Amino acid sequence: MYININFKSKTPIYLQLRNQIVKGIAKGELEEGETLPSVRRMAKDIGINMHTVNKSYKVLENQGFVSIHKRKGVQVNSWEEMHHPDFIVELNKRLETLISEAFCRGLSKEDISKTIGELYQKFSRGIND
Amino acid sequence: MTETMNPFWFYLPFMIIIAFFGYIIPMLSRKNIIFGVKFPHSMQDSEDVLQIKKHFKISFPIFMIFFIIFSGIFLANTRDLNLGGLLIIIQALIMFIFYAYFNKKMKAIKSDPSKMPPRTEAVVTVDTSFRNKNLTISSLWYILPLVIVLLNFGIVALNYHSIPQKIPMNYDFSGEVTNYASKTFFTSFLMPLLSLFFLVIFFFINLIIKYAKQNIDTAQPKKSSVQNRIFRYKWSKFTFLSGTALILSLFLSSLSQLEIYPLPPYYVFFFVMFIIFIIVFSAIYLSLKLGQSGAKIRVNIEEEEEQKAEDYDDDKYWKSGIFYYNPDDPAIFVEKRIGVGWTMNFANPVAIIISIGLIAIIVISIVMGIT
Repeated sequence: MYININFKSKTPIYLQLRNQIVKGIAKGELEEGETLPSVRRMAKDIGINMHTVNKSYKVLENQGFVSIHKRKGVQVNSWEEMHHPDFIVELNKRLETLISEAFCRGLSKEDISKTIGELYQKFSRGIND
Repeated sequence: MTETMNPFWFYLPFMIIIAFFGYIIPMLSRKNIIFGVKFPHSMQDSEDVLQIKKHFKISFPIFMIFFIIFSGIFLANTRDLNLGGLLIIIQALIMFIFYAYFNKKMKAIKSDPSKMPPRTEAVVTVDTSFRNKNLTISSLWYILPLVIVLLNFGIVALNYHSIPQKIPMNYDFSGEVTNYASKTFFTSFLMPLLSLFFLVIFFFINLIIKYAKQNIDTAQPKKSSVQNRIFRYKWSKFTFLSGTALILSLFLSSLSQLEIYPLPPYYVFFFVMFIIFIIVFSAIYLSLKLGQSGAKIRVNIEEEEEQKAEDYDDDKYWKSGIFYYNPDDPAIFVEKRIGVGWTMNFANPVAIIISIGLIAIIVISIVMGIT
């Protein structure tokens, strides 16, 4: 997959990296068992500090998206390993902020549902294939 | 005949090559880089950019023609072969001054907001699977030239007693020896030592090609990723082939120079010259055919979605578009902005150590050559 990092963004680089890898997994661009570049290589290819990449990988590991092996490197976990039904609580919390803002901006319930549907469609491709 | 020959005729082909290459180099860059300055895709064919390109295309050749004519007259009067080498260095310097000047002009366009389109998001793009495929030939291939080098050391050592007391070091164009060196361990093993030096250099170039920083064009990530991979692989092959050919010709020179095997030195000298010419011309051919980072390679790949973002602007780290100095970048080896190939991040101490080492070796070898 292709990762785009914006150095001037307000989102910290480690979070941009983490978010894009999660997106890549959801889209099916990163498959189960696929190895990600080592911390050193990733840092040099992007042109950022190694600690930043390390932090990003650690976060992904803690959240169950990847496993870090001494020998095999950073590997994408299987769907089973990632599954976590309790996430609905977290989702609720995060969506609350977003939907409240959308409400203030005058978006209708249909607009919001439609957007969610479209986004879900984009990502579910990974499972259906 | 040899005394009246103008050394200019020896240097003329090299000068023409440098002039030709100097002219063509800016056109080999990636599409979004003009004289070392990054431009968004919409700006690449704008009036201002084309104007400056045209200015270069006219002024550079005129300047080079005058320089070559001047060199011809100068060398005809001095008849000094070493001065010719100096003129070549000056010519290369002039080339760099030209690039720095046009780099400044492009930067001036870029800093003028009335000439630039509104800024969009700028990002660095990396391909996570880039290094999963082979980017270079295997390092194991270098066992072959290593065997030649070891063979060379072995043969010289075995025949050391029969090596003549006076070793011919230089020849002129008619095949006469112009310079002898007395037999020492150093002069006897000069060729194998030189081979070993080249072997190490070529071996490391292969590693540099492999590990140099990724450089993906955000506007066309799929295409530039494939181009870059082909680009690295071809140069890796070229490095191996030219390195092995060079080491083989040094081996032959060694056998002939030390009279170990009766190869006529005159023919060996021309064989080596021929090999060097082949290497230079293949390098030029590859540069023209592939372009920097493989920009000239045709790849039929559709990009999945249109990118709204553009390439991250790192112009400020490129001094005159030639020297890369970025303390925040952990990469040591990066793609050049002007020209074909790779350069170093001079903010990294390793890059400084490598540069000093190479300069030291060149200076030492020149000093040893003179004394």
